[in-house]
Amino acid sequence: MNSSPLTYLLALAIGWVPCLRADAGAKIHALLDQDKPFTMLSESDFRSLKISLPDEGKQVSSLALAAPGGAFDPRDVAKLDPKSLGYKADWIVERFTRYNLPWDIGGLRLTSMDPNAKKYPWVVILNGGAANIYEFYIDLKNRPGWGQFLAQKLNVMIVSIPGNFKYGGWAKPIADRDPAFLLDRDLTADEVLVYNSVFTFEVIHQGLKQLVMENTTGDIVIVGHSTGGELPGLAQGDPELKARLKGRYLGWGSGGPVRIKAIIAAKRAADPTYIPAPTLTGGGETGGSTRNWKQAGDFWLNDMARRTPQVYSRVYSRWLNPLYEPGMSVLDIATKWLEVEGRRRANFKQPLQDLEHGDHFGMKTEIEVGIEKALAKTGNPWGINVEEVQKDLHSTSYVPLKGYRTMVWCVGKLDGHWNPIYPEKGTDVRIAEEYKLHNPKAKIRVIGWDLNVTHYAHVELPEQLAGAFVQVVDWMMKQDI
Amino acid sequence: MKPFLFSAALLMGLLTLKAFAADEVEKKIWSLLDDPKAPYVSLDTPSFMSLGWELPDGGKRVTDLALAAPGGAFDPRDLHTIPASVLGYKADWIVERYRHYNMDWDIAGLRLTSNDPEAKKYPWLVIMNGGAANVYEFYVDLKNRAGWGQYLAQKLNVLIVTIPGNFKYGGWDEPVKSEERQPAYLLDRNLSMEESELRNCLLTNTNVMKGLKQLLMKNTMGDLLLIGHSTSGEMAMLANNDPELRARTKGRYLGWGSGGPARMDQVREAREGVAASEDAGRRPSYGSTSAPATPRERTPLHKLSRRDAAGYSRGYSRFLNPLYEPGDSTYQIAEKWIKAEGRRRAQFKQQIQSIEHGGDSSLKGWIEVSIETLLDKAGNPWGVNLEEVSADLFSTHYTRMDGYTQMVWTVAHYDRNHWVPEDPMKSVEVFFANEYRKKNPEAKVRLMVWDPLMTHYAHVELPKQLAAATYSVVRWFE
Repeated sequence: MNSSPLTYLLALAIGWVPCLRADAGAKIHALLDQDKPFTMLSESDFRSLKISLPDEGKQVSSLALAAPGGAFDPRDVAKLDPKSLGYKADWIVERFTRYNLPWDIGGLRLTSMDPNAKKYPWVVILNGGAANIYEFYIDLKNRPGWGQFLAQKLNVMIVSIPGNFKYGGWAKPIADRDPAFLLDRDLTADEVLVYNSVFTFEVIHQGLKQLVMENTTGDIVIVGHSTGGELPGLAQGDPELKARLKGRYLGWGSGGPVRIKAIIAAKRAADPTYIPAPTLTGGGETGGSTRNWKQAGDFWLNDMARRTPQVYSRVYSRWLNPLYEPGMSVLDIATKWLEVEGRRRANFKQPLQDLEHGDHFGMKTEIEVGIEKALAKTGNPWGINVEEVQKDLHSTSYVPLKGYRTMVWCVGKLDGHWNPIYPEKGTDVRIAEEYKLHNPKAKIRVIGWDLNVTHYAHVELPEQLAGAFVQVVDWMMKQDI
Repeated sequence: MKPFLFSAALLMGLLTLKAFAADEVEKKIWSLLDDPKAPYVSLDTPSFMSLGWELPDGGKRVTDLALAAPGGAFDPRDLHTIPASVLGYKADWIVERYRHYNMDWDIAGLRLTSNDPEAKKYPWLVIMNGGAANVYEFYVDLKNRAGWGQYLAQKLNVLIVTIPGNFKYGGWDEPVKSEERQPAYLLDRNLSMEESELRNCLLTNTNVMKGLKQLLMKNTMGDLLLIGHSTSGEMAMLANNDPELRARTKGRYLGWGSGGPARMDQVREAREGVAASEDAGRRPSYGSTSAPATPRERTPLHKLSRRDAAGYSRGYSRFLNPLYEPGDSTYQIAEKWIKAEGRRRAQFKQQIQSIEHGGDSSLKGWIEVSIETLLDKAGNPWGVNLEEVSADLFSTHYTRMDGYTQMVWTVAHYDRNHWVPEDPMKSVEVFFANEYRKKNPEAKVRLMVWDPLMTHYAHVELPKQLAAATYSVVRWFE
């Protein structure tokens, strides 16, 4: 029996997978050990990274498939047996007050069943402008998502920024829907106008801090995806969060805070030899510099960018998207994506988020006036003091650049944050280079996933991405030894 | 004996008449300021010109000091030797050394403690120079005659502040245009060019504010009224962000050619759609060098903008200037002015001051890079932490506008950057006052125009009258 060919093949297969896992993990460590502008993990290594789920994610998928538009109630996840999930799930809503307004921020806390998870920091994942928890927890076909895989090994908190999550999702089309800044009631039109007009990063920062401080203990790393990439920077300027970050930064499609982007832009502008490197992708967002912010008139701060297939086809929709089928154009993929995520995903973004995330400090006055007009229109029954709001504006231009010990940016090859033609000229590589100047003793790394994953690799190859992140976090922790 | 008695009676009568007239003008000023509805009020020229009081020695002792010093750059410490009874006040020259960005800085103040026992009833009047000036022009005029501060100090306690760098013992030997003429950030030693250039980039408004606060907290007591002239108008506004200073200003604001904070710089454009070009006059620009638009052509941050006759002839040199003589063109007045004040007046301004006072906050990245480059080049022996500088940049865009109870902007009729006599409602001072009215609906917010053809520099044009007028405004506050 022991010598039968079948047994031999079975043994080989069983042994092969862990072997590949170990190899890829070791390779990530080895790549991160190298003090280079960037390194890349090969496609075969990336794809070899595996993490299994106890029930293969079936219970969560069933929940999602049973809900209209997949907008299952995250409170229901908490009812599932942790043993069958591999983690204990809790849906937490924190209410906080800023500018005399109540705000809700929601977090899906996944406390890993793996006892080793306690050795690692909480991985706090924060969505970017138009997303929410769902895409970090399940994929576009309601199969297990990034967070589920991560939580097998690490404690994870997936955060939805205020407004971007709604119980049951949005019944209204993307073009007509409003953010759910409060989860227990709908807002009036006047409230929506005002909430959108004062939705600063400091609002998110306050909510995030409350969520983290009240519901996690010990070390943290904050993974701010996309526009959410501002939050780790703001947290670094917060004494209590800084004490828990311990100089660690982990980026996923995060870029850098607007402060560093402004510095880089100034250096490039002053350099007569600088020529922008050709890129394969370009930017995924509507071009900030050419955007006519005020075209909507007096209440332009309420004029949200609403996601469309055209925008999502530019760089976000590629061939590893779960919805891709042979023969589809990128527009087809994007169309399908927005269709299937039409209910549970916010698919909108406030101008203020883009303004504070872009180098638009010069528009502070315009923003103040926009807020004033919104308040004047509504009569300001909430007693919002513009003076309190104005002092928060462009906080992203003031985030500290120092105080880091270990920083790792992880980037997909087709993400606009990477330059697959001239990798050394990629956005995140350049940002990391700037951080090195300010933190000469820190270990600062950029690792690219060398396969055709985009800014949304967490819905494209979530299992492998989770496997890679587990290794990156492990490497980060080893740097403290 | 009889002629003497008659003369004495006549003198007494004249003095009484003058006092009576001054009382009447003061009542007129109060009456104007009492009007809650007027967007602005004006004090007529005859009334303004009738104002003023004499100095015990006619200001002679100070004038003698100034005339004896090369370029009029007398040592303010020498004022201490003149009896207070001769001056009408006790003069003290105070230098406060403070630390910011891991560097030492000196800020200086000429404290004039009035002999008038009534002065205690009123706040300390703190006068801060604008970009290129210093203590002298608020204390003596361009001919070294008694200046605004001397008159004010007969009735009020006054502190005339020179922002760091702008005062130097004995003045500057180097011509205004010389690159060697650099700010005196430390008063007890000269700085290397490398250090001067770095400091030129670090003179943020927050830096100045720190020194000002130390000067005020250590050397004055009780209520304060902060007058920031020109660019230093930012200081009075920034003080509203500081809890300790706010407790002493008690919601009062007094402007003199001060305008509004940079935070308000583009508000009108944003609110009313005023084109930038149409709005360009809102921010004092005479004599300053604005950075060109193209980054590669922009004047390096460490370079100073330097005053010249062309710049000062545009709006600052007019016919009440003490140096004006019949037949002089405005350019000739300006030429004489720059020459007469070529030693004791700084005549330069740091670009960071102009940028923070203007609306171009998009330059924050460029500023950081400029400072970083200088630090790298020098090896940063000072241990300046760029993070601390970055945190301070554009504080002027975050001044609180609420919490005021009484605000008065005073402005001269011919201060073209602040007042548009042909269309007053388009004046920036009207705009600023209205903005503060909106933010402080319960406050008494007033704008007073002095009607004579005085400029932004009326404090060297008609210091005596301006002092009396300012005094009446201070009394109105009470």
